[in-house]
Amino acid sequence: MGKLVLGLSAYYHDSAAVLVRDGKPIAAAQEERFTRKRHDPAFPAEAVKYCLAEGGVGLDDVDAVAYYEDPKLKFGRVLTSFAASSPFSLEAFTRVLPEWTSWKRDTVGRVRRSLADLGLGAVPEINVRRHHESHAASAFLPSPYESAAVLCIDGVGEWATTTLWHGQGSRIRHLAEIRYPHSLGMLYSAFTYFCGFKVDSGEYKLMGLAPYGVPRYADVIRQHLIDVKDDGSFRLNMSNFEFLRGQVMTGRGFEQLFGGPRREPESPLTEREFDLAASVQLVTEEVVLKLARTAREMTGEANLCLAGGVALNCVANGKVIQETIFDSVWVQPAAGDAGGALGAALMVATELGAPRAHLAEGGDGMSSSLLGPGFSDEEIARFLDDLGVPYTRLDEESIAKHVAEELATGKIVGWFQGRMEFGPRALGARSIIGDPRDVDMQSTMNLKIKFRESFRPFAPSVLAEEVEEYFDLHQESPYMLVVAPVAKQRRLDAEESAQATGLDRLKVHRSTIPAVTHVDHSARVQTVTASSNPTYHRLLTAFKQVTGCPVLVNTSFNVRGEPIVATPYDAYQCFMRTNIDLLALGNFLLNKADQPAWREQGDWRKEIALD
Amino acid sequence: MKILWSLIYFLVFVPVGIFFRLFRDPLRRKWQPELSTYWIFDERPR
Ligand SMILES: [Fe+2]
Repeated sequence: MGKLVLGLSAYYHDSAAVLVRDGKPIAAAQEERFTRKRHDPAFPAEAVKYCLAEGGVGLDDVDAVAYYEDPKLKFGRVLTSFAASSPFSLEAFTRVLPEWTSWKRDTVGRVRRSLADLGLGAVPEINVRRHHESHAASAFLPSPYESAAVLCIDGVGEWATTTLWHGQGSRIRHLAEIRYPHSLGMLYSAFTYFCGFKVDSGEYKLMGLAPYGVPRYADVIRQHLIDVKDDGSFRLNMSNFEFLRGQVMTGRGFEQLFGGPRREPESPLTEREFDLAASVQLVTEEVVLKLARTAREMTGEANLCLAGGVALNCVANGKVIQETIFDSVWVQPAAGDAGGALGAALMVATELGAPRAHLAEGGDGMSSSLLGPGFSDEEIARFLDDLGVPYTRLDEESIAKHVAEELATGKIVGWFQGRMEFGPRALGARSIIGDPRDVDMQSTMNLKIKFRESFRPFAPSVLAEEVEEYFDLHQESPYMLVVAPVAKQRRLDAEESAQATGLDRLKVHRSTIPAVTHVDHSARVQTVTASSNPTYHRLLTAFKQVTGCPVLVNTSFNVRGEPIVATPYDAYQCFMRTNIDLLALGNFLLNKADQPAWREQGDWRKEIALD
Repeated sequence: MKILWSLIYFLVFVPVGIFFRLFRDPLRRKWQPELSTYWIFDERPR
């Protein structure tokens, strides 16, 4: 059957499980998709059950379990931080330490017991990896490169916050690191918090806000918050941050530097937040570019692999690509801590002798990140019949054609196809789709479908063969982790755009694909090939045949604060709760106008916590 | 229980913290303009 390794990440943020067979991930999912609790940090019981079921195996068949970080090393860091920040950390100490001494210190024991409780067989040996080792393995081992420089940047795991590695064949060699509390992820999260967004999820919003502002605080950040050496290594000025003391991210230091208290969550955004976002984004990009140059110098490699939460900063990734520091850049689609489960499992699998077989086939080893649960037509038919709702059953070609025609008339479509994505992005398996040429599409989708802030940009999916027609991007971006400028010939509005400021810039007609063109003419591009995602490629092709445009708006299939839908039921519920016009569940098409009235008790919007 | 944790904090963590600050800061908080890099190369990865 081949060697099986089960990878786990848990108890911090976005728990996940991954099953690897002979070095190839065959199933992977975040726990939140099953429990419907966004970024669920609990033991990933449902994700483990899914992975084992997908592999058709029990725990008895698994050769090893890989856990994504070293709890003992992390405990040492927690203790050291409390001592080093005394006597100002008492409150956090009395809150956090009891948790560590009662169970967190023995996380591995807890993982073992939780696995045993599933009743799926005897628990195999649990192999503990370091947090950044897991990130590095997730970045390099499934990458399409025989050898590469590897850069991991995040908030913190045990001690390391930024690490540099050299990947060759199946080996990854550690070269250098930067340790807590000096962390680029923490710097970005501090601004996320200060601008009134949630830490560990609002970072995307800050990145989306940056193009509305001017980086007028960048010098303040460089002088008072982060000291960056020419080689990209850095230290934070901890007297201006509060996170060491454990309660909040920022306090009086930030208030003095940036003219007053933090923005209250959900209160109106002001020029200050736009400019703070632009400033921290600029400094982050400067550091990432320097780190990338150092990675190139230290390894001599022409390819770069990225992972860690900061690698989800697709604007910074885009800059690394634009600067052509490397010939090619590959970003792990589950770059955050969920991907740690994958990296840990791949590392153990490699040590057990698994080859990087995907190298012989070309492409990466992620199966397009479509590693989550899928549903057959029979299962979907049974679900719809049990629900007793009207639908039309089509074949693959005609559903793509039909949906494309409806999209061209301005309809918004819930697109639920095949296996669910692993990682934070919807890639055309659990997506809401719209026409990017429609000037009102961005505000309609934000306000009527996602019920979220109007400033947030949407991302385009584009036929890979047409990407250069629409975007200034010269490599693939299959996982929507690279931002690139919209091609000059597609832009419209130089003068109008220069005059508008702040959120007024949203109203400017920026390009021929306005719904996916951010106010600075950038776009977070997903390139789609026929081999990587044939169903989605078929839809894009059909849309191009109908409209001449090979681009679609692709946003995750959920509402604000909710995890992406996993099952046909989740999809139907989201379809009925929102203003989505059509739902394509596999080959079944549902029209909102034909559906019976949707009734549920209470106000569902109050039950979903805002992100 | 909170009183016990507070006692541990003041009797153990605060003195250790003072020692750290006076002799060797494990968090390397000081900015050091004289250094050409902040990378840590030589120690065991953590
Ligand atoms: Fe991480």
